[in-house]
Amino acid sequence: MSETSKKIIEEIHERNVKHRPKWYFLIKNISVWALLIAAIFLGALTMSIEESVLEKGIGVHGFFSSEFFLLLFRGISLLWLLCAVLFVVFAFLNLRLTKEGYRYRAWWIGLGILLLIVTLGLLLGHEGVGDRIESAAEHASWYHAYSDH
Amino acid sequence: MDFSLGTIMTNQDNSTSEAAKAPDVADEQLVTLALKDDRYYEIIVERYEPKLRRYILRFIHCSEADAQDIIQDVFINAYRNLNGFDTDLKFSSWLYRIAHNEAVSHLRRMSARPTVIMEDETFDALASELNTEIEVGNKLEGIKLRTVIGRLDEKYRDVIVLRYLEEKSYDEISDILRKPSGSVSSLITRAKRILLKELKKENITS
Repeated sequence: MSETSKKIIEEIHERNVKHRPKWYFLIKNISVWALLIAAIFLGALTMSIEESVLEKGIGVHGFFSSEFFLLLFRGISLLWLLCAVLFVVFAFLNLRLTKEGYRYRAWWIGLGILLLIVTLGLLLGHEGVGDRIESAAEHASWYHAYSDH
Repeated sequence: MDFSLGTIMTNQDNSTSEAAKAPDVADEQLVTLALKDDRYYEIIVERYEPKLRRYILRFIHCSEADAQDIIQDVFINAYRNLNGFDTDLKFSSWLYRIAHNEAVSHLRRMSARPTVIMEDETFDALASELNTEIEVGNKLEGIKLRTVIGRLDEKYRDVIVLRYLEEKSYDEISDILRKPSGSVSSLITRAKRILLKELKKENITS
């Protein structure tokens, strides 16, 4: 055995280094996935609220109006949009932290997460989840202070 | 069981220990054994210490003493995280990843300075590829190539070292650097382009 190898082994014994238990890595792995799923779900919820806000702001006729983009710009809630963006970023970072996350191109991951959140958000919006949360939030005083519509 | 160094050295008793020393015993098998018995970790250290030291010296310009410290941290870290070894990866990729991270941390702590690749290095594979690309008959001069590689940006130098000196595959480099294979391939292509440009500046190529 070489001198360096000997020193390394001695150092490990002197410092009394121990193997981290398996459950440590298991919990770490589960936490990353749990946070990723939570971020996607919360992102989808905020997206469904945004959709509900927009629907109220633009109205059914607004979708076919020539002023659609103006109505969209005026109706969009920056609060929920910001929340959705934060959840997309958070989900992106968590996916990169998974064991396999680095194997895919960043923009593919970003695009995939964005599509997933938007699709789930629209589905939840279709089920009226966004409406219900928005209506509940209307009763909260803080909501009017931060909401811009 | 007594795991003191003296005991280990004199007590390489059983046949499995001897068998594990043989080069055909897979690293992954050694890891499983090392989790139960520290003596097997010595075999891992013995097997990888020279390779990792060479890699670190190639990647960052540091003294032997610094390289020794980095190597020590690499093996201590690897020992601590042995249960977290991802069996989907090659063990060498996992260990090189730890070494890469330790080397980068060391680099961040030190002020940036150009790297000089060791003089006994051979760049035959890289030189022949560059020669083919620029279609010149003359051989690239090793010393100049070493100097130019030493001047490369860290991210390019790293892929060049891993690809042409450590002879790692694109997939292995991808696992070591935690980058997609496509990005590794782009980095290598860009690194070679920069190398060619620099070599032309130095009038090494015709």
